Amino acid sequence: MTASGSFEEFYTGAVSRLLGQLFLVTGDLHEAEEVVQEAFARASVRWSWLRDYNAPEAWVRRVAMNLAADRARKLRRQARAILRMGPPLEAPEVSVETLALVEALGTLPVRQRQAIVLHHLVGLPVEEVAQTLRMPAGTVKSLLSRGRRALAARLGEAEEVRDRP
Amino acid sequence: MSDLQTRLQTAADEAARLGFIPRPEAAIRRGRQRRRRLVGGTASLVVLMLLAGALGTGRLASRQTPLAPAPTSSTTPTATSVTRVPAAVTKVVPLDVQVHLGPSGFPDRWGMASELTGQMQRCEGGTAQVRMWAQVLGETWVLAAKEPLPGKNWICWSDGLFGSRGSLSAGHGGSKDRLKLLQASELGEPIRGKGELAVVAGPVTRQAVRLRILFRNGPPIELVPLELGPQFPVKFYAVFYLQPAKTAWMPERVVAYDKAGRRIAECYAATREGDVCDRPPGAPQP
Repeated sequence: MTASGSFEEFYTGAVSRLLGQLFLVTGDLHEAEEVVQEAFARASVRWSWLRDYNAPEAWVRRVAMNLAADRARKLRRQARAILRMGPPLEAPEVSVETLALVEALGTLPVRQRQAIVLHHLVGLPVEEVAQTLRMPAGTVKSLLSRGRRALAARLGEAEEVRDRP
Repeated sequence: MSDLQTRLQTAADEAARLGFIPRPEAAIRRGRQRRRRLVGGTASLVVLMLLAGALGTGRLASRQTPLAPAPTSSTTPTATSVTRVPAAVTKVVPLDVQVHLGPSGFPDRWGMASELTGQMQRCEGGTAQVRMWAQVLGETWVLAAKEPLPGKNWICWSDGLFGSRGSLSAGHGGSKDRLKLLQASELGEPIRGKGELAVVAGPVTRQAVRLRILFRNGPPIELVPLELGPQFPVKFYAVFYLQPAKTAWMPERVVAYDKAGRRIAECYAATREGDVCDRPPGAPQP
């Protein structure tokens, strides 16, 4: 799907979807808002050629995923400082089910979370997940397998899902 | 876990409903601010990489001296080393970078070439292909171009900077510009702990044998444009440098000289795609 229309139309159509996806990767709504906005900001200045892409939303998603991974690494380093600075911003309350899922996802390495979200939520086949995350398909399969096992253990359920080709 | 997809979707929908979503204008404004941050320049000195030219020098040093006698042709640059980068970038730092011609050896691990050439689909021409590339400070710079179709008077080209994981950090492309004597695209990307990496590149008329990049506060850089082959009616050039965080946009000027040392074209480097040459509003007079 190309987005030959205006950036505003593209943004309006995609921003909520991407926010939901990035929330599951970052585990923090404010963090997700930040990386999604930054990714759209970068897209806005490149819109003249990005709109000719087959899937500009995929471009924005990839930038946001990269930003999320970078920030996750930084946040680990800053964790001690954040603890010193007091509690984080108050986030809107989510349902118990969502909270449990996000907490379980939060125990996974960021690459596993990204793979799970891209494959099981966005619906990308393994090959496209590999392209998005810039890693071999075999690595993606391994991330998915380990990620699902860990999630199942956390959520106390049996793992039944298989990778789609 | 049989309902993993459903659970993920429910959680994502909930986040999308609860999250704060600014209007699109906010993203546009933020993008412009980021671009201004990346592009403008306190520029002090700059230095260069470069495309060494004929005479087998392999590289050209930056200098303020009058133009040297022009070489008769450009050749493939020879291998060079990257200038040692200081721990903190407080002034413009020259980068002496090896630029490779053609796609041979291009480390296209993550589909960088297709991402760049994908921008050029609507631009008529021959095959969109990597024509020049270089690696510098963990980033990969690539320039792709299509040969003009017979009788067509434009050149279709695009360049981009890719991060260490292959993410496109900047790019221009797919323009249907009428052939100009000179174009100057500027790309910039923050390099952690090393200021900002900047690349000024573009096509220039075959008459040009020497280019000079002028900075507002610093000595100019001279370089030799490169031939990509007889199928191209233009040559291409690229210059790389590091600069400190910028406080204002100070676009660089690129001046092309012919064999006799005459000034034949001049452009302001710009970040936008398309006809990259105009003097931007507010830019200092030459």
